[in-house]
Amino acid sequence: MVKKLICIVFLFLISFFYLHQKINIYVEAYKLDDNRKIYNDLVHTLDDIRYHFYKRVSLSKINLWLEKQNFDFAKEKIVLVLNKGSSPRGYDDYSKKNNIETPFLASYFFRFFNFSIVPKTLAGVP
Amino acid sequence: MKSKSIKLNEYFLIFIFSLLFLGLIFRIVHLQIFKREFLQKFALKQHYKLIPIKGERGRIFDTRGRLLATDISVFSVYADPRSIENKVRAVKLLADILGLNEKELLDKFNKERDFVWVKRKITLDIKKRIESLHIKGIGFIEDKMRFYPQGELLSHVLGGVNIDNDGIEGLELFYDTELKGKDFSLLVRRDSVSNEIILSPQDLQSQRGKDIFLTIDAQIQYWVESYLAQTVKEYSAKGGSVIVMQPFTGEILALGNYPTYDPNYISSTPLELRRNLAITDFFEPGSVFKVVTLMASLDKGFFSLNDKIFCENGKYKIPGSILHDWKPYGHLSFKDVFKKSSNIGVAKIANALGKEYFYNYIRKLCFGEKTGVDLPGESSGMVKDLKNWSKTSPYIIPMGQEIGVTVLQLARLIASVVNGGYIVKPHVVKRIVGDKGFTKEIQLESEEIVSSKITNRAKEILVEVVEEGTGKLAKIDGLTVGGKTGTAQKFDFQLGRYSEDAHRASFVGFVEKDSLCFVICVTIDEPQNVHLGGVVAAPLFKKIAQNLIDYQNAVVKEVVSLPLQ
Repeated sequence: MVKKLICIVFLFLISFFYLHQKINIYVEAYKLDDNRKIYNDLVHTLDDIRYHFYKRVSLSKINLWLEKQNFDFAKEKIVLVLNKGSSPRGYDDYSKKNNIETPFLASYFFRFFNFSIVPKTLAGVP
Repeated sequence: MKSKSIKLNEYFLIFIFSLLFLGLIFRIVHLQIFKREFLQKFALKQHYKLIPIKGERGRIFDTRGRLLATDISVFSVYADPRSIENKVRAVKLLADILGLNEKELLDKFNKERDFVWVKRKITLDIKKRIESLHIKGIGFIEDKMRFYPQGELLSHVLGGVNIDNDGIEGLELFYDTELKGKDFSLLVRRDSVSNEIILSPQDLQSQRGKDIFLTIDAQIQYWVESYLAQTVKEYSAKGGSVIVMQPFTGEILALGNYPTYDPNYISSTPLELRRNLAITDFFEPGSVFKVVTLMASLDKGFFSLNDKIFCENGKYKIPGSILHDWKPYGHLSFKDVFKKSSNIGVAKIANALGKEYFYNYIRKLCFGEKTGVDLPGESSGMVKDLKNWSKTSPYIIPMGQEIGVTVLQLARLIASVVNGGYIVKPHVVKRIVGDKGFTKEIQLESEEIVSSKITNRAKEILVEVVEEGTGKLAKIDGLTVGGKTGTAQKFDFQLGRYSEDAHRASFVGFVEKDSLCFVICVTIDEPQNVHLGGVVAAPLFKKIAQNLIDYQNAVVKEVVSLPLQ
């Protein structure tokens, strides 16, 4: 009797897990298909944006605008200033006070990872 | 008696049921064995669906990574005319949005079919507008369309594709195998309400073709095309071509023809406009070909630079014709013959070299051969075999008549003068980048044909042509400019002689500053009013050269990053 019962429970469990897995696969498949549709929609939107962007901002149009605004080649030294967001406060104040340039990498490390790679002598400055 | 009849009934029933079972067994055997394949296919068709996914073509970039060609997703509209309820209303709405002819569309919808194309390749926003109309019987199929973001820019080099995205012109044709993506099909299962579900693990990305990076700079190309168009319009010319080339590597930085076309609409462009004239058409170059005579005479060493040549005061009888100079000259030095572009002087110099030597020299400089540029339809030009030379030929071929060359061949000639005597292989593709970082760099090919001593002397004379000779309008202060002007009469095939009105004005030369050096070849076909190469083509050369050097020189010297205040 016990053997039979164990056998029935065992068969039930196997069937249960089999069906559970089967249903899971179908659920995942539906999800995957939904994601594929979302992905396709995004690709279509991206392509549409790209198409309209280039229709309005082609190289020829940029050049025509530059000519209209009388832009010309710079004959002298060019200095590009990039406004890249806030940098470590303490270090920045110190560097300004002491006329030291903020190392490019150091400020980025601080901004994104919130830790400084500035040499110890400077890192200690409040 | 009664039991006997019951037994008979039993047998009868057994017989009937046996027959039924036998029938069933036969049917099962028929379905399971004889119709197995058909039914299996039928079931697969009902339960599974193959969604074709088109492989994207590779993208094309210029040398600085500016996008020149890419595939974008678009949609093709189709209709099932039988399902459309109000055809007149549907036609009116669709024709308005899609810009179609109402009558033609109605004719399509009145056909006894269950599928007709309404319009191929429309954009997403138009699709959304149509969807919002909720017209029954209208559907969409996803498609890919080749898109050239820069419009007409570089059209003759890029070429174009047909409706099936196969290359039909230019780079699209030449590198079709590399650019073409691999199509694949996605297997999906359909549930009871026809929802598509992906059950088997599959790679959802089709294989995109390889990306191509060009040697061409779109900014330089823009200048070339816009200045060329200005010049052609200014002189009411038939057309023109310009090539800008790096003389040491053979990299083509710009290649422009006028008239041009928009590759986005290549299917509706006349074939005439699609031709890349700079490489497919050969013409009699006129005086620019005197550079060959100059190199040949320097190489043979017959003349020193200051040898005097009598130029017959502008009129010289040769076998079968009379040669004229554009201005009468008496005695000119060897250098001045080329500086002042004297036809008579050049004819006398070439005659002294001997026709066999001169013919072999033309061949040595690879005229009459394709340059091997990676573009389709290149012409090899036309060089008459020595045995076909007439008595006039040795006098007029050295000044660029009775010989056919392409603009690209002229660019290669000037490149060999500038680079110390090497014949380079011109090319427009720098590298091909495939999936997973695979990169193929295009190998440079060059062969030494003339010693650098000779080319240096030729180069000096070409600089003097611009400083003091016929090419003065190409002169740029602060830069070393050298070149040769050319004004060739065109042959009139109807009259059977050279035309008095139709000319080709050309200027081939180079510009140098410090380590920067470029070859620029300009040719204008049939300019009106003024037809001199030194007046029509040289100023165009100057405008391009000036911008080219400024552009290449304009480097950002210093970058300072400041925090946001």
